[in-house]
Amino acid sequence: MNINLESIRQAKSRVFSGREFGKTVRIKYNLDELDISAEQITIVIPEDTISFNSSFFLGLFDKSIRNLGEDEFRRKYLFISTDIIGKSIEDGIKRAQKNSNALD
Amino acid sequence: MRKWCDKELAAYKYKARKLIKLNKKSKKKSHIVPFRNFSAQYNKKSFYSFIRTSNFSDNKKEKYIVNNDTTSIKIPKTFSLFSNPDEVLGILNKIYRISKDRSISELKFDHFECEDLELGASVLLDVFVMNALGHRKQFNKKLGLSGRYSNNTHVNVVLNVSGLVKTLNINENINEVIDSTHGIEKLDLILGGNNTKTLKVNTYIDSGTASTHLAEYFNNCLKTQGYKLGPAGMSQISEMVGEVIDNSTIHSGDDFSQWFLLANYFLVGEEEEYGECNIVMFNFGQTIYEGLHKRYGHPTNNYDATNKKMRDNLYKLSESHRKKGFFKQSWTEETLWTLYALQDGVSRCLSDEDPSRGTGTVKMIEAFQEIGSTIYGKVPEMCIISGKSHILFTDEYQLHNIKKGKENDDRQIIAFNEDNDLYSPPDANYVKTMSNYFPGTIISMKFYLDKKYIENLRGD
Repeated sequence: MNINLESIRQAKSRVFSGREFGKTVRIKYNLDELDISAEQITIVIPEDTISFNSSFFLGLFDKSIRNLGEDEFRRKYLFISTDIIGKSIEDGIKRAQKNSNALD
Repeated sequence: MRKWCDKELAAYKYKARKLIKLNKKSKKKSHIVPFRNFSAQYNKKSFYSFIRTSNFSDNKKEKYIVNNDTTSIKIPKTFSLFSNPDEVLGILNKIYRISKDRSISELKFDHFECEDLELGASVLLDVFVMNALGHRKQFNKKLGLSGRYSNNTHVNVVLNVSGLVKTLNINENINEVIDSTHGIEKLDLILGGNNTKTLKVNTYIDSGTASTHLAEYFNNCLKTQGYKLGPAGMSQISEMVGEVIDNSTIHSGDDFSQWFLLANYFLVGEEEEYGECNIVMFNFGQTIYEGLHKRYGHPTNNYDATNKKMRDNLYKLSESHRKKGFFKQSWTEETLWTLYALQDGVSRCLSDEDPSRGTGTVKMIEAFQEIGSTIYGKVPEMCIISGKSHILFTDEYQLHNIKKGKENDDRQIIAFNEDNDLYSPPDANYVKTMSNYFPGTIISMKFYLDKKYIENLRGD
């Protein structure tokens, strides 16, 4: 299954930002159900995207990474993007797994 | 039944038209409602109803003199959130009280002695003035504005490009003035959030589009130094700004939320050898401490394991400072929790469901400290104000990597003391509790773009 994020982008925006926006998109594409399905999902990020912020990524995929684990998440979700955006995605996956805070 | 006088009728009609517009988008039936119900509905969404219930109303009330229904506000020599935030907040409070004083018909701003007009202070003044004008319209009691320019050329440029003159469009030739001023890049005031309908600002957009605009704007500034952002740079800038705006929207709470973004850039120096860039982001709404206190301020509340840990950490931190006698008027629990909230990995909303929160502001601090100096020794300044907390960032104290948690995660901490220890009091020159209160959070940044400094940084 393909999910093309071009269709949910705000006009004149080349940035995907905002945790709540990510959560909204998660609900729109019903990722809770897709996570437990056998389907492999390809996420297409528009080529002219400047930034794929970790807040948006985490709003969209944080739950998936926690439920599936990193390896299964990477197997299930494939990303088509520029190299720069690919780096943001890697950053997002790492951030989703951080648990400590400043006073631990 | 008492017949309404003309003024009351005009005020009611104005409000009725406003409510029709407010209801239009929510597809409510557009009809004129009874005045009492209308007021309640309109005021619920207004800036003044938010201000009235916030601690801003308790700020020190500086006197103003009214002369033949006219009063004047003198802008001090230094009008800056970096160096005298209490005075700036005092003036904002004065504008608020003047706008409610219907004996005043004219307000004059005297910038004559002002030599340092910091962008954050300037734009806050503009927004308060815009809200004052809107408030007066409700009662059909106009507030006339006038002013005196500064003796300082640069201050006047700021006023024309990004300040009161530009915001209120007082000078009909202002765009020609701006276009003819050499070496300027500007990003006009942008507004977003949940409560935007009662303030008329030219541009209302979402955080993603705001981030795009600021990244493109910053790129234009960089081009004046012969550089431009590559894809990685554009991504980093957009991410920084987007996350800060996202944080402000979430953490400002549900009652009232407006965020603003503004920037300007000037070539400076005798031969315009480098540029000074000012970026201000601020929001009205719940402060950082208020949000933390709302979530963790009740010892008996039921929390999940992670939130309990966060609450315990906060109280342990407060208790430590209290027992050692560190707290005083200029260093309170509010500022301690605000400082703590800025550290990497901390967030009010930390929970099993969403333990990854706590990123944006730290990344922006890091990027800000890395770039932005000049070879002439000029260093960037940044300040964060939230409620009564004032935190000043310079090159004196920096983020340091510390291993935290069972997994030895890398976290970046800045405690503003020699030991970089949050359990010790910070340097009072950089972190303090102010006397006055700001009803939200402000981030104001001043940094430089110097071609020679950038070349050194890159090793060119």
